[in-house]
Amino acid sequence: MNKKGLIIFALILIFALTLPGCNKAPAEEHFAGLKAKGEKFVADYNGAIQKLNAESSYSYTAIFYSETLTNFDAENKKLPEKEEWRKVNKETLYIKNGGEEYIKVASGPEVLELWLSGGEVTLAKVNGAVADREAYNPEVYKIAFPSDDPAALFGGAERKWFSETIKTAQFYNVCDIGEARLPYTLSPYTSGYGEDLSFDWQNIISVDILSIGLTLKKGRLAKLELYTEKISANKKEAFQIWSNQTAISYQGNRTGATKTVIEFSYPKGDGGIAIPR
Amino acid sequence: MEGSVNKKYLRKRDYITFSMARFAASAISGLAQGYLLIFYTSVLGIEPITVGVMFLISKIFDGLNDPVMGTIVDKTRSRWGKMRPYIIFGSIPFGIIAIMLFLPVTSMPSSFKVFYMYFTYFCYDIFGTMVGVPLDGLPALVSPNSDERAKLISVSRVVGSVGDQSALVLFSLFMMFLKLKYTLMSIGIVIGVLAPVFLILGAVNVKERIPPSKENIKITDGFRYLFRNKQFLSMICSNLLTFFRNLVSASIVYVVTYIYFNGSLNIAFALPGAVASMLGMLFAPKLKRKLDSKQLFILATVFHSVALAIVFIVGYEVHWIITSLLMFFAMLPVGILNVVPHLMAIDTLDYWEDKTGKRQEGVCFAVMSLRSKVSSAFKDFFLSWLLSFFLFAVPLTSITDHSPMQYRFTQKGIFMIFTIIPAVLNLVSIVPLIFYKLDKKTMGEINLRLSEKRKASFEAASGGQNE
Repeated sequence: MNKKGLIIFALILIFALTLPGCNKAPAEEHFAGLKAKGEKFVADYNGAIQKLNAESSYSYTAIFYSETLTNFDAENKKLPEKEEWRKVNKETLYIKNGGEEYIKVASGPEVLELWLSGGEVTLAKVNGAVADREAYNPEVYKIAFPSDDPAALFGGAERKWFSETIKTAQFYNVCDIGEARLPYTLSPYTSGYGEDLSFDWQNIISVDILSIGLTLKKGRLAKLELYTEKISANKKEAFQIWSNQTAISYQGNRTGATKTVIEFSYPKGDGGIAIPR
Repeated sequence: MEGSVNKKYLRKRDYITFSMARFAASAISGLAQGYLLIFYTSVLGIEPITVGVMFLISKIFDGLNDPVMGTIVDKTRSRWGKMRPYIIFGSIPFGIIAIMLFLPVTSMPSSFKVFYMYFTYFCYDIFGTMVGVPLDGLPALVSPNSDERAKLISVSRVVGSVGDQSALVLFSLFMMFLKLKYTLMSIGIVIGVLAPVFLILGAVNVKERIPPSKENIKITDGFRYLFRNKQFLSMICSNLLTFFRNLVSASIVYVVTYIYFNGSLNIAFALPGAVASMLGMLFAPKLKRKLDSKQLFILATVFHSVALAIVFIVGYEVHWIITSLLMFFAMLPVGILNVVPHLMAIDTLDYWEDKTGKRQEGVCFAVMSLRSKVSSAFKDFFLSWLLSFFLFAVPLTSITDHSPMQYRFTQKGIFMIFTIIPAVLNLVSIVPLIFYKLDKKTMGEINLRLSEKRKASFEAASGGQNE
């Protein structure tokens, strides 16, 4: 083959290899794939939670972090010039052993401990000092494991890494100006799909994104990660000198986020996990 | 040949302007090599594996188009010379492409973004070669005085290596005030506007005084040499596999952004590594006196792997200063690992000359240059593949400045890419050296024979002249 022929062949090869990157799967195929992945994820997730609830003894430590843009003007949809964020950090330790439970929550300087038996608080301590046990509702301090409509799933993936299986999924819920909260697939204010998913920020109040990461080890829940993002619609005004008019555009910016990472432990052998006294 | 070999032709201005031209070219390539991957994944929201495929194709293309440019330059006849016209006329498009590479076209559809990525990167390849090949070749033509040429190469290389780090300094500085998207766009503009100025100044100022004496190297000559000289082949295979080690420097920006959540720390990780690497280069000649190249390579590789494994064991949930300090020690052998392959290449040249009577530096270093580009292609592809494997979340670009939270699995994965993965896989580069036989004793014998042959041929030539 002569040089010119080689160069033409190389260019055709490059072009052929670039085409897949520029071509997306058709919408029907994309959403069918998402639905299948979503249903599988929800089944795996619910299965893992059911297995956890059936365990007689386990413990988890959870770290929780949240940040909120406190000076966002939600009514006028305006981002502040200088952003002020409120950040909260919390750590929770939960132990279950048969009918006995123990919860320890540390947030800032305060450490709350609750001892439960049969679901009722038997002892409460704040910073080591005994407190009124009736003042504390344990359900507030236990972590709830949310699930959502699989139709709202945006994406999911699965990985095997040595003895662990990691599964992830994302949910997008759109809150529109009529205050209907819908999965993005049902909202009239979304268009496109995959990386081209876009929102009509003028008619939306906010989009909530929930990302879940599920790590299983030997079939049991080893880690659960929950990330939420609140994306609020806001208005941008720019004065155009050339037309003497103010141009208004709408965009979405993050105004809040949370991170919860829960790591589970199980008793080795037949005995349960000891509850601190 | 013009003039005397002892006369001085170059003024201080020539050293300064040419070095600044090297600085400028290195600044663009340092910016592209260091930050394009994170730009494509974290700003444009393109899936890492898509980016990886693009890098693989385009970098191999880049390696193959260097000899093509060499041929074009060699056939050029102009009143400015062979090299300078390409630097002068290629600089402005090169600068424009540097700006275009980092334009945040986030609001465009995904298919356009992928097309834009391919288009701008291929243009960067083409103009980078158009400017880079003549820039590399120009010092050989600027003076009949070989000392001056060597000094110009040496000074401009050092300044060029500083230019390589200029994007790092700008990135760390700008990240203190701007978000990632605007940081990269701003650096692209700064470097894209200033680089052509220095490139043109350097090319206009420095004159071509002698015609090039290098033979035209064909890529097929290179491959023929590679497969005949088995020692060179085993050295090249070993060197090719060192791309795993380069994952460390390539992943720093991901480590600081997604594990330590502070892009300004980029300089705290990359600069000590660069300094450690330079210190390692200074140690190399001293160590070379006690060990041969193969032993030095194996020792440095094992040290580097062990040190990276220690960083992995210590983990990332410690203060970043501890990780940065440990990485300084881990990077010390890298300087040696940067120098030793060149020493081995020279040994293989001596071996080949001893065996066949032929010395083929041009072909040898052309293959080394192609190896370097192919290694870089593999490194970028592998890094992209690993990011995809570890479920790296790309932003949704319809949300302004979206930076999604990365899963713990992903963070751990990024830290593994920075430490244990190169630590383990880098050891693979030792395997081809099983077939590398040029130890100290063998090279001693080869050098003795070569020295006798050269002496005999010098005496024959002198005897012929006396007659």
